[in-house]
Amino acid sequence: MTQAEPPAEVIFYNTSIDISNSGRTVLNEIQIQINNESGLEYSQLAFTYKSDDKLKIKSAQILDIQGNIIKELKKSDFKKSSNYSSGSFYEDSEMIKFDLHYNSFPYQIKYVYERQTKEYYTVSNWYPYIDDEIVHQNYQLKLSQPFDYKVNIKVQGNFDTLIENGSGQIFYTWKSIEPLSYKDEKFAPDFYDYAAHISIIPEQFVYDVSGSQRTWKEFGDWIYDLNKNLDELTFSDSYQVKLLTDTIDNTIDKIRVLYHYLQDNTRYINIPLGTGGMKPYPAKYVCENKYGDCKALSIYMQALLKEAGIKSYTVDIIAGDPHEELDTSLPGQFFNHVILCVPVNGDTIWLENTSQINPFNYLGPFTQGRWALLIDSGNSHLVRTPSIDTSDVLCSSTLQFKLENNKEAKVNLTYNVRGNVFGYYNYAHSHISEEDNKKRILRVLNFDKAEVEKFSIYKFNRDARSIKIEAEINQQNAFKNFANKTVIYPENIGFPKMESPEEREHHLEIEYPIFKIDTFIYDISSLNYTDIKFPEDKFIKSEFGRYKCNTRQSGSEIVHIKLLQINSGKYPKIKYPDFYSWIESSKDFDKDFKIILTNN
Amino acid sequence: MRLLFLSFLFLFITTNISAQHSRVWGQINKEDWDLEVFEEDPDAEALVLYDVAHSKFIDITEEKGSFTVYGYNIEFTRKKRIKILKQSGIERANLSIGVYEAKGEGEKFRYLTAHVYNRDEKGSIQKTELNQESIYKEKINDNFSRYKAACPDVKVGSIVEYTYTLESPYKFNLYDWEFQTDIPTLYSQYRIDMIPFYEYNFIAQGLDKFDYHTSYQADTKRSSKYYGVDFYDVINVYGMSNIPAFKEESFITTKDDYLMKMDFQLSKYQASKTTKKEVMSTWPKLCNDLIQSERYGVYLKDSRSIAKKVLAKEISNLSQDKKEKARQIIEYVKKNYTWNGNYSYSATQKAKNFYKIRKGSSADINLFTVSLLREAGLKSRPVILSTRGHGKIKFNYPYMSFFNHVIVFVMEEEFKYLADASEKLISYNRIPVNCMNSRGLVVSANSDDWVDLEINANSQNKIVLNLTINPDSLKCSGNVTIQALEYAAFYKRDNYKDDTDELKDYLKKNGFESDKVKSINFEKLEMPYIIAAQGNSEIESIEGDLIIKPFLDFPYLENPLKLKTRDYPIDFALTREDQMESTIIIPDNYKPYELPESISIDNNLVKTNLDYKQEGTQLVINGLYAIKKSIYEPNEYSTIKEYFQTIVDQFNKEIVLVKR
Repeated sequence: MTQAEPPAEVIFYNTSIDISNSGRTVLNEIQIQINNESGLEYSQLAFTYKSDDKLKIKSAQILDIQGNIIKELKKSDFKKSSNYSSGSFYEDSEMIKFDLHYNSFPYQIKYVYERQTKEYYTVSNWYPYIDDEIVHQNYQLKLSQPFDYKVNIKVQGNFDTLIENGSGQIFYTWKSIEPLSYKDEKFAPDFYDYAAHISIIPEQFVYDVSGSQRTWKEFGDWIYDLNKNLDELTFSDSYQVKLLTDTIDNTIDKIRVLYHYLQDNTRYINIPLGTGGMKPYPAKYVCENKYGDCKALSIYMQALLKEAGIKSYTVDIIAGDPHEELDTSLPGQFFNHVILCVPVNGDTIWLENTSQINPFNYLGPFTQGRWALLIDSGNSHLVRTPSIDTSDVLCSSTLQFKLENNKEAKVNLTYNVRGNVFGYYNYAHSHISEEDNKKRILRVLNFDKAEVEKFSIYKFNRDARSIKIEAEINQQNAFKNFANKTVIYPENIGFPKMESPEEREHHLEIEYPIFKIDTFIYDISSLNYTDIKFPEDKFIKSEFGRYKCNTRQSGSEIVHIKLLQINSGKYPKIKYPDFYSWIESSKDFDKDFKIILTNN
Repeated sequence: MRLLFLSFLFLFITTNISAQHSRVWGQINKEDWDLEVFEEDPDAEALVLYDVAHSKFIDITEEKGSFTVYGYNIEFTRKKRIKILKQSGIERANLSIGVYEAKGEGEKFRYLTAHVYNRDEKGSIQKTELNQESIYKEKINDNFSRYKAACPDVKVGSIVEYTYTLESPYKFNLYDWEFQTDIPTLYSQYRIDMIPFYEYNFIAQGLDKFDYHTSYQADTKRSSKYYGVDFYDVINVYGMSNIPAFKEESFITTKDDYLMKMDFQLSKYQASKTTKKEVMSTWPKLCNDLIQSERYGVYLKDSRSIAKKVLAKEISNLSQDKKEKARQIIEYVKKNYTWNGNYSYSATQKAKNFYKIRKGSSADINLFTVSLLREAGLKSRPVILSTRGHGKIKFNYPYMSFFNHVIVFVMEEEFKYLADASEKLISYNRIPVNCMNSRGLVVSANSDDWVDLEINANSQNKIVLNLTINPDSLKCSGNVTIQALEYAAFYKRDNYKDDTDELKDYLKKNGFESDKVKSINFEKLEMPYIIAAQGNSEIESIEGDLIIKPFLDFPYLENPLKLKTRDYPIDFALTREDQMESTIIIPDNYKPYELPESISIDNNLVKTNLDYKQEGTQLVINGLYAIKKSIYEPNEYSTIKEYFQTIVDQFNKEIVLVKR
C-alpha cells in the first residue's frame, strides 16, 4: 500500500540567456527525479522550434540516484517531425522528440538544450516549470547582455538577485529561494498569475521590422505597421459591402449586417506562417479563401467596415477562461488573440470574428473584463473589455411535474440560459445532434430513469444573448415512498465544490458572477396524502452572494423556488473561511431540502 | 409474383432517387442544391453525395545500373462530393490525406484538387477552386506524412468536391474501400482494373450483396515488357447506394468490425513468365514466413543468447519446479521491462537494444519472454492475435494484416496457459481483456493451430459490509471489505494503483467515508485483491424514520444499457459476478417498517438473488447478480436491459426503520 508518492520532482531548472549582436542564445539545463511509473510521462520530451530558429539538444542522459550516468542518448535517438500536435490546422514549425525512459525507480534524467534566435521581441517570459503538478526544488535564470541593451524586467516570486558588470556586459542572476508547487483550486488565480516567473522585455527589437516596447503606444505602432495596408478588399467583397449597407442609415445596423456577413461566409482556420505568426494574412486572403485565423478575420472585418465608412480598431488580448492578467506596467507581446473594437456615437461595439455563432457585440467569458491593447496609429493604448455582470449570467429554469401515484411524472422544462451556459447551448444548437442533446439534458437535471419525449433549443434571434431550452420528459422515479410517506427531492441548485479552509492554499478569485434561479412546481393532485411538510423559507446572505429558498403550497400545487448568486471579485485568503461557511451552509440546506407528504 | 413485383418496384424507386443527384465531376444538379436536410437522417451534419474511387496498375520503368526494370505501381484516384448541411459539417472541408511515404520508397502523393460550389439567393452559382499553394505537407515521422488543405469559401449549403491521386508500389495491399462513414452516403463506388499478374482476395464486410456490381474486359490491349505478353485489364466495379451513417454504440469491439467495407489482400502473383506464386495463401505458410523473418525469427534467436545471461544473472533463486520457474520468468519480465503502448506481432527493435533500454512494443516484450522460457527448458510458443480494438480475424483469409499483437503460450504437459508480459498488473497466467478476441494463431513451423482467447474470463467482486446505525449522528459506522477476483482485481489494481487516497475516493464514490483503509495482495497478482476499510456512511432521516441503503452505492446505480433497441451484439468481453453481504445492527428502539421482497432469478443468461433476514437487532441482506455470458446477441438485448433495470431497482432499494 502506498501513500501518494509524488511521481517526479524537478531537481533544478536552470536557464542562461546570452544576448549579443548575432541574436539570443538560451541554454536550458534541467534535471528531474522520476520516482515511479506515473512519473515516466516526464521522461518523454518534445521541443518545438520555428524554421528560422536553431534548436540543439546538447545532451540527454539517464542518471542513477547518485547522479552517475547510466545512459547517454545518441543523435539517432532524437526524432524529428513536423509540429503537428498543436491546435493549428498546419504549422510551419518542427519538433524534436526523445525518450529518457528507465525501469528502475527512482532515477534521474538530465537534458541540456540550446535555442538560437536571431529575431525576437521578448528576451524571456521565463516560467521555469515542467508541469504545475510537481514540485520544483531549484530554478535559476542568468542573463548576460550588452551594457547598452535596454530591457524592462518584471520579477514575480522570491529570488536571490545578483547583478554584476564587466567587459561591456551586465550579468544578472536570479536564484530561487524556495521550492515551488501549485495546487489547482476552484475560484483561484490562474497558474500564470500565481507562479514565480521573470519577464524580460527589450525596449527596442527587430522582428521582421524594428519596433519598440518602451510604451504600449510604441508597441502598438509596431503592430499597426504590421497590419498596415492589409485591409484591401477584392472587388467582389467591396461590391458586397455596398449591396449590404447602402440602404441602411443606422451605423450600428450596418456593423451588424457586415458582422453577420462575416459569420455566414468565413470560418476559423489557423495556419501561422511568416513573422513568427505575428503578421496577419491580408483581407484579400480571407476574401479568396473565406477563412483565416483571428488576426486575418479581424483585419478582414476591419476592411469590410472601412468599405462602409466605419472606423474600427484591432485589439490584442489575452483570451482564456480563466485567464492570465496582463501586467499593464510592462509593455510587450503577451497576447494570444485579436478582436475588433468599433466606437459608435460614444459607445463601443466589440466583435469576436472567429465565431460563426456568437451574437453581435458579444464578448463571453473568453475575453470579458480584462486589459487589452487597442491598435491605432500613434495612439495605441490599453482598454478594458466590458465585464460580465450578474444580469448577463442569469440562468433560470422552471420544472413542472405532474406526479402520478406510480412514481412517474410528466415533466415540462423551460430553461433560459445566459453567460457561459449560453456559450455551451449556443454551440449545442448548431453542433450537437438532438439525440446527444437529449442525453445531456437528463444528465443536467440528474434524472437517471427518464426519457425525453420532446426537446428543442430555441434561439430568439441570431444575436440574442440567451437561449431557451424546452423539453418534455417522462420521469419514472419522480419521488420515493417510505412507509406511509411520499418524499420529493428537488434537484440541488448546483454549488461549486470547494476545499475546506484547512486545505485551501490560494486566495479567492471569482472572475465572473454566477446567478441562477430554479423553480419546481409539483402538481400533487393525483397523490394520496393527509399532510404536507417542507422546511421553512431560507435566506443566507453574505458579501460573496446570496442563497434563497421559498416554498408555498397553493391548492394541489407546491411551488419551490431557489436562487443562488455568487458575485465576482477578489478576496484575500483570510476571507476564505467566511466564503466556505456561506457556501457550505447554503449547500447543506439545499441538499437536505425535501417535501414530505404523509398519508395517515 | 407479388414479392417479385414489390422488389422490382423498390429497385425502380431507389434507382430513380439516386439518378436525380449528379455523379459527374463538375456537374451539380438542382436536386443536389435543393437538398437542405437529409430526411432519412435529419441530424446529419453533411451528406456524401458520391464517393467514387478507381485503382489501376500503371506501367513503371526503373533504371537500375545498366538495366531497365519494368513493373507496375497501383494508382488510386478518388473523387468525393459532400454537401454541407450544418455548421458543424463545415469541418468536413478540411482535408487531410495520410500517405505512407517510407522515406521516399513508399506511396507517393500525386495530386489534389478541390472545388467548392455555392448558390446564392438568386440562384447563381459560384465555383471556387482550392489554391495549390494552400496544400501543406505535415511530416508525422520518417515514414508517414499528411497532406492537408482547407477548402476555401465553405459554408452551410456549400457543395465540396475533391479528388486526389496516390501512387503505391505495394502490390500486396491493394487500396481498401470503406462504403460507410460516420455521415450518410448516397452513392459509393470502387472500381479496380485488374491485370493478370496479380490476384487478390477480398472480404466484403457489413453487406449481404452489392447494390451494383459489374465485371468486364477493357477495350484497350496492353503489353507487359517484363512478362512479354499482351493482355487486357479486367474491370470490376462495386457500388452501394443509400448507406446510412455508422453510429457507434457501447459494448462493441471496434467500429472496424461493423463498417460496410471491402478489404483486399494479394493472393497470387506472376513470379516469372510461366509461374504464379501463392502469397500467404495458407496459415501454415504464413507461420513459416514469419519464423524466417528478421523481425521475428532472428529476434527470437538473438534474444535467446541474451536470455542465457539473464537467467544466470538477473533472476535469483530460479526454481527447479517447472511451474514455479515459468511464473518467476514471466513476473521478472513484467517487473523489469515496460511496454511502450504499441502493439506489434513482430519485434520493433533489435533484441540487444530492447534488453538495454528495457522498453518496447508488445512483440519485443513477449518474444523475449518466449526466449527466456525456452532457454529455461520450458515449452513455449508465441501466439499472434488481433486485439479487440484492431478488429476480428476472418479465419478463411490467411493474411498477416489481421494480426497486431503477440502473446505467450506456456505449453507444458502438466500446465498450459496464455500470458502477456506487457501488462504488468495482470496475473502471470492471464491475458488482458483487449486480447480476448476470438482465437489466436500458435506460431510454429507449418502451424495451423489456433488457441481460444475467449477463455471463460470473469470478473468477480465480493463486498461485505458490517454497519451499526447511530440515530443521533445520522450515520452508520463500521467496515467494508471488498474482495476482487480475476479481472475485477485487475481493474481495481489498475484504477487505484494501491494508492490510499485513490482507494478512499473510490469508497467515497460508493457512499462510504473511510478513515482507515488497507489493502492486501496488490503485488500478488494471482491472489484476490482485498480492500478493507473502516469508516461511516450518512443515513437519511425523515421525520424520525431512518432510511438506509443496505449496499450503499456499490450496486449499479443506473442501467448501463441506454438504447431502446440494438443492432450489434453486446460484447462485455467478460462474465461478471457481484456478490454483496450486508449486516446492519439497528438500534434497539427501531424496527424495519417492512422488508422488501426477496428475489431470485436464474436462467441461461443471468442470475440474481436478493434475500433479507432479520435476527433480533440484526438485519442480514445477501445479494448476488451475475452476467453469465460475455457476449449477448441483439435479440437478447431487451431481456438484458430489463435485467439490468431490475438490478438497479432492487439492489438500491432503501429500508425504512421506524421507531418501535
